[in-house]
Amino acid sequence: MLRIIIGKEILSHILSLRFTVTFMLFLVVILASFYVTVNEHMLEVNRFGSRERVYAEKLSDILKEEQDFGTHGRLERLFWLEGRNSPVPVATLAWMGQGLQGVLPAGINARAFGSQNIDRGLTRNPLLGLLATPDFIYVVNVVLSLLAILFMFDAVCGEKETGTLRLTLSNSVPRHSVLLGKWIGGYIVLLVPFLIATGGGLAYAWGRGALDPTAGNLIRIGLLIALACLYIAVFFNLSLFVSTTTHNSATALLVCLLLWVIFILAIPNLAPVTAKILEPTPALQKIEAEKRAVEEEIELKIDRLSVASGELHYGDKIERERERLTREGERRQRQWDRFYETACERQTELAKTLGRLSPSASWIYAATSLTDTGPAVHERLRESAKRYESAMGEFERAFFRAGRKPGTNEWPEISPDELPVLGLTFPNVQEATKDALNDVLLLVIMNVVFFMLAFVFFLRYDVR
Amino acid sequence: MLEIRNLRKVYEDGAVGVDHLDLSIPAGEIFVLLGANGAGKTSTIMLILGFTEPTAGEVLVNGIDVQKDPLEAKKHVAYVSENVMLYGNFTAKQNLEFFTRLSGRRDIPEDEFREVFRRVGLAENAYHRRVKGFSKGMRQRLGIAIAMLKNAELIVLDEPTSGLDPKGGFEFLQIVGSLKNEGKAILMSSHDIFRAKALADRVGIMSEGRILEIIDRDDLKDADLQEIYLQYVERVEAGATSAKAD
Repeated sequence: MLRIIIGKEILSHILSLRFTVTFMLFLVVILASFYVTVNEHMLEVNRFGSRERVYAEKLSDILKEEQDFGTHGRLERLFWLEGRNSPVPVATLAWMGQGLQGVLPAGINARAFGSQNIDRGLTRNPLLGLLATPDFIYVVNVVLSLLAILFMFDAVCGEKETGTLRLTLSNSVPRHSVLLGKWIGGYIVLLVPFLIATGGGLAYAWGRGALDPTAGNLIRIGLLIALACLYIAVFFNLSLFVSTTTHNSATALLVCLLLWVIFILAIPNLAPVTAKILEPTPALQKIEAEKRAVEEEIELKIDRLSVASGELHYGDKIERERERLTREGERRQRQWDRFYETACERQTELAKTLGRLSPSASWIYAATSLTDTGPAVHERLRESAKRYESAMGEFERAFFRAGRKPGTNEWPEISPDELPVLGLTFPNVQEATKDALNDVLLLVIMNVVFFMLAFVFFLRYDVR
Repeated sequence: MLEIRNLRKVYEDGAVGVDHLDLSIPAGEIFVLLGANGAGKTSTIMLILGFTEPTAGEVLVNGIDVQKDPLEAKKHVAYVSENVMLYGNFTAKQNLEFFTRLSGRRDIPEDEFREVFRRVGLAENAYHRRVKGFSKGMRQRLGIAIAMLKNAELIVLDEPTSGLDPKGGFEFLQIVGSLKNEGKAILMSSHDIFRAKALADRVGIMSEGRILEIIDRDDLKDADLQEIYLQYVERVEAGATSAKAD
């Protein structure tokens, strides 16, 4: 019985104008999306290569300086004035989901005493930041969810309106078979054009060289597509549920569109703003001011220490005390940094949690985890930058501790290979999957809840 | 074939759809429920099909309680609605195939489809045409074709000739008559007095959920059904007016 209903649903959808429009839309939107994002990705990969070359040349210039100190000094430029630049690598699957890739810095500059982001600069097209990139994740999030709703909003109430539901149920057909048949049939018909279009897009990406067919990448792509199917199912179930609670398709469409706006536009966009209000972070300038105050206080204590000793004193005891005060100052400054980071993390977590009221946010979090362009990579970059900065400081201290070349007044040569690099690594498949797991589970739960609601309501649905 | 015992349906808003209805239709009989709009004809049919739960009483189809075993009971009932709406994007053949397979009959030869199609008076060239282009009369014929292919013992027709032109209505009722000859029990609701008289073995005049009078075929010949019907309607209206005045 189920097979008969599934077959009918498939045929019914295929013969409808809705299916033709959907198929065309999928082909156009998904293929156009892949075309744009793959080409943009290839440009970004080339830019990364260019940056790598330019930064290497610059480092080579610095290391070739004849003097060691002064504004044109090798060591002064390397450790204090200019430092070493490292480009931020491009995630290999960023063409499927731009995520935070566009807001990450182009590179990180590290000196002995700190690091800073190398901005993409004002040369970047500002509209890229203003308007969303129509990548695969975006297309699934917006277009596919909408099509899923348009496919199912009248699944039950539409058939009631036309009278076919009554005729169907006048036969010896269990209601659950009707509902399940509708679900499966509709889902297959929606997925087939989606998978065809996505397959075409992937073939294009492979042809252009954007898709590196390693096992890891293929697994990620497979998981991403499976996740997209799970996400679509949420909207399928949601609209099926709406369809079982209404008695005419116009009302069902209105309710579905309203829910779509809430889930796709309102909640994910309002969540970060709401979190900002509920869990505010202190201004960075305030933290900097606090850190400066600590620094001044420590300097004052060190000055007093010298004065208290009655004369300028450079003995071991006072040196130890000075070091202790310096360490204390650094510890307190780190505490302020940590305080700020914790506040930011709390706000981010709250925004994520609020956003997860919508399946859209869960999809984006999970999908960007798989493409390595989500918040986890942002966090990794921050950690890498810290390590990079610290390694640069370590290198400088070790270099000067090692001293000049024996028997000469010259400082040793430095090879570019000896110097620390940014060392940003992307999570492996297991880590990325683990990151995505909570959101995947949420999508599963939403699917189960909406389908169960649809099921319960359909069992009691008045077909008169 | 159909047994209705003390059937009562009170809706959530307190309206009485069916009020202590008793009815029995044996195989090979056409029973017409005659009544004005809101008399309870469709409510009765919905209860027979198990679409709504009765407040009291029971409906037995072929001895099977519709409430207790609706799926088994529905195997013995075919239904044709007032306005048969099939899947418009499907051809007549596809609709026939789908609903016939849904009724539990599989592997029906093409010839049988075509034979039934011909019997209900649909033109051969309509067989592969999409149903959305069909007139109401054609859809009603296709509806009865679906019912015939189900081969159920009881056929329930809910005002099937409503909106059909006289010729279409006449031909439709001829098909119904032929089904009776095959031994089917037929329950038809209608407010068309003349067709009821021409077709029915028995006519039940229904008002406010009750069958007020059942007229047999023998009595029907001589009865002025219109007169009888109008008397009942007037009586009911008068009752309603006096109740309002009270």
